Amino acid sequence: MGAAASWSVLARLLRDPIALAIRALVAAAVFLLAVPIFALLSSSFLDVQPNGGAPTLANFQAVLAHPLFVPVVRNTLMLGAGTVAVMLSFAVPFAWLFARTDLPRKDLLLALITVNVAIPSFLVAIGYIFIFNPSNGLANQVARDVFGLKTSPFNIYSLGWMIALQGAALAAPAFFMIVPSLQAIDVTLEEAAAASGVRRGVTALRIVLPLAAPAILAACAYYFIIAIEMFDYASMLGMPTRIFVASTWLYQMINASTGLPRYGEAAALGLLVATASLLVSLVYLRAIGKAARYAVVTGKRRSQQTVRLAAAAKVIAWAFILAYALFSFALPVLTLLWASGQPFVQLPTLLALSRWSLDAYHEAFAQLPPLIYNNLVVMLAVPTISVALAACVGWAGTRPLRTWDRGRLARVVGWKGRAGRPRSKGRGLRGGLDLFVMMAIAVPSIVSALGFLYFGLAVYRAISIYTTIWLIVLAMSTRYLTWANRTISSNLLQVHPEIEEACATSGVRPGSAFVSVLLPTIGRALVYSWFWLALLSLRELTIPIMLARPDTAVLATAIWSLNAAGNGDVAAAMSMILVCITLVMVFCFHKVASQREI
Amino acid sequence: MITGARLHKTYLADDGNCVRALDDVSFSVKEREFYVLLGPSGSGKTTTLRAIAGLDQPDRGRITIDGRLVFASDDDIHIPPEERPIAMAFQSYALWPHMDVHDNIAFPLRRGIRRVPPEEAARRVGRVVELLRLKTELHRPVSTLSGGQQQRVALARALALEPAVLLMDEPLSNLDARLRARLRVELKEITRSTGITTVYVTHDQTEAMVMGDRIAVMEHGRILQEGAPLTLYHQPAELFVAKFLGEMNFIAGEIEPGNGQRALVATQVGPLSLVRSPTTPTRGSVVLGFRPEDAVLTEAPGENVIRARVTARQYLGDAFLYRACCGEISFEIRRPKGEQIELCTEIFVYLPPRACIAFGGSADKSAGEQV
Repeated sequence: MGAAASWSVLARLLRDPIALAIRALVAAAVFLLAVPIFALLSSSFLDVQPNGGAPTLANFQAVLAHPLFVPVVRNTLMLGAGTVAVMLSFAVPFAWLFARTDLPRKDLLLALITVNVAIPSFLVAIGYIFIFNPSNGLANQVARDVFGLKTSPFNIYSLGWMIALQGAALAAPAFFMIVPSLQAIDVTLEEAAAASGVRRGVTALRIVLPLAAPAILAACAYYFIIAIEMFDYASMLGMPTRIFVASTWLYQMINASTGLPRYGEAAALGLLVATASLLVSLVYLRAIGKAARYAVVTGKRRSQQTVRLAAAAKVIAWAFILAYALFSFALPVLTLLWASGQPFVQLPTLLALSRWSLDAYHEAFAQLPPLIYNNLVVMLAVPTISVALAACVGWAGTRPLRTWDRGRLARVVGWKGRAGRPRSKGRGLRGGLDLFVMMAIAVPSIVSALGFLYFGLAVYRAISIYTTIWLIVLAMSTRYLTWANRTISSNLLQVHPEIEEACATSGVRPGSAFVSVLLPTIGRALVYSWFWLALLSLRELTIPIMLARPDTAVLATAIWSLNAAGNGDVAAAMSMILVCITLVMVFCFHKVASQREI
Repeated sequence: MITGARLHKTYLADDGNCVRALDDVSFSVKEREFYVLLGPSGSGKTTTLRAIAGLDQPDRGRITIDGRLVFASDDDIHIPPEERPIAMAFQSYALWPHMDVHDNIAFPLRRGIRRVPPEEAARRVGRVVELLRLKTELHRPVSTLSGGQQQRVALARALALEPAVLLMDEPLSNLDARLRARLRVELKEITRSTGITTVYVTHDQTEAMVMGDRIAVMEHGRILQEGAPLTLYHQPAELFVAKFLGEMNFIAGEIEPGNGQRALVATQVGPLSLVRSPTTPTRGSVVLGFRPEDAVLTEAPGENVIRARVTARQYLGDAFLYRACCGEISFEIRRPKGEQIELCTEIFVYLPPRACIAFGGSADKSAGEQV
């Protein structure tokens, strides 16, 4: 039956070319997600240079025995845990204020947090370097000149500052992850507590928080991985004084100032980091599973604000929020604006103001055209590829797999199958796909970028992708795919299966149903994801820094290099240009969103 | 028109137990017939419907629609739903939320496998819109429609395909009682006037009685009894069918072979005679059942008369429902409101032998059959 069955399957597949194309895209997504893993495995376990491909553990031995290994592990753990702690101390109160209280001007809170997500992290780092660097930081200048101190009291180049700034930065995206779970909690649960004579504060701590705990735990695990993969703060605040964490050590191995790049050791370190993240991501997966279960338990009704804040509490809450906004982006951005007009950093005096000039901007604009071109390619291609792949993966992973496809596929491929044995709904192939994509968050950006670097080098003779911007595009699309998949899958899950079954029973093939019915139904989520990914790819530093060459530099890497080279004023000027582009994008999206009710 | 032969399906539930969704289900639906699958949730009625539609695949068995084999486990045939000559109305209506009424109806006609030329599509849309009185709603987004209107759009979408078979999965269950009662009649009228063969799934016995030409009562993945509403109501072959279709009183007893057409059941309230049917057991423990409205009040003791005392009374609007006790046995009788009886009154209840049915086994036959 082999040949005949294969032909009939082929004929069936060709009858629905759209579905075939979707399957091809799913295969492409799986391939892209697998690339970094295989690249790392082969480059870490195989001894490439001297005797061509013999298995070896030398790379791992070199990493583990390296004098930096122990401090890097310690620093990385402290950075991860500290960042999450700082993040929670902002994100949880903000989310609670936003979701469950009658705080006034919530729209402003939302706007401030959105802007904070959009402002690139490395800009905040540069801004703070201008304020707190030990040689000529503004705060240290004040301390020395005004208060007559002999030494500089502030030093931005420390693990503490890394933790504080990174935690404040990640509080914004974490806010968006925690708010829905707080909003989903049925208000009647709080009312029931109140009716049973439980005080509001006790209710918040003993009923609302435990119900939101799985979502908060999920945010912790997720942002722990982000915290150790983020290159911005670790590189700008740590590398100048050789405080290494995993991501910067990895970068150092590839871009050593002396000697050859240590590819094998970098791959080994990357694998170790990925393995550690995998353990954390298991916590994440368990937590989101639990969060989903709690969401089922609690009702459908959208919560109204139940906690009435006293006037004083409102003032305190807003003071807290504004202090956060000032700390996390207003202060550094204002500093950048000031520094961008000065050839060297000086205190804001009237004299200094009169010398404020646009010279640095002229220089920045001169360098801009190729950067803008590369950035445009990245900003348009990355979200498009990620969202398209995520939609296809989401479809394959969350929609009921059509049984006849599975049965026929099994027979043709030659699986014995478990014919006659009862099957459980919702396990097997699609569960595996879903899990695989979810687990891919455990491969940190910097590690994934390293994998793509090896991939680019390996296929260089066949495809010269290594020298083009498209390697960066592929690496970023792959990383963002896991992010887009979360949003799109959860939206697809909310689409009633009967919506699609109604297509089938009225003669519409699965491919057409996907394009004409399912995608428009989740259109809002697609547009939303596309926009956020565009914004994130505009500010992405970690992946381009690993992969960019001089002619494939983007704004982020250019600013990073200018800063590293001590070109502070041009870096600041270019940062201000980036801030303007970002704010215009946020504004445009806000306009579009309010028109289309997104 | 539709036949299902020896359909089996087992699946693994979340708790790790195997559930028999279909257990040797066979049926045959005639052309232009309104066939109702009736049963409680988990009885396999929706699985049967989805197997006909092709949305679920049974483990074993054969299904034909309009003379065409659409599923055969032995021959490895499974025609996907979009290629079957069917249309389906869903419990959630499953209207495509981003399209208006017109597009919901026209989309399958323009983009589906059974697409037709544009003029033909327009003609069909016009016809179903007329039939279901949706003309003024034609360009409204479906999300702004009321439940009843959404239901009519779903039906219009299905009918516009002019399918050989219309499948409906509890289409009225999300509507309020008054609207449901009206749409029942409307639906039945539309299917009759278009002459379409219909398979209708419901757990509502009134709906089944009002609409069905033939009803199949299902439980635990099996069809217990199949027949016209009148037959099922008055001659239930199984205790479950009797209980599921309307109210019934049960009295335990021992059946004795009587003479000729009659059989005698010895009960705690005395011997009761009944008219035999092919399913009446010949000997052993039985449960005797009768409907509350079949009991008649009489003046004096006699054959098939139970002497009882009225212990409770419910006013139902058009009638009274009385609870009567005779020793440890209690039962309900329903009398028109003209025949009002006071509480604690002693009454004589006559059970016509034609209205009494004997079922084998005991009254609390265990539920929850698991493999």
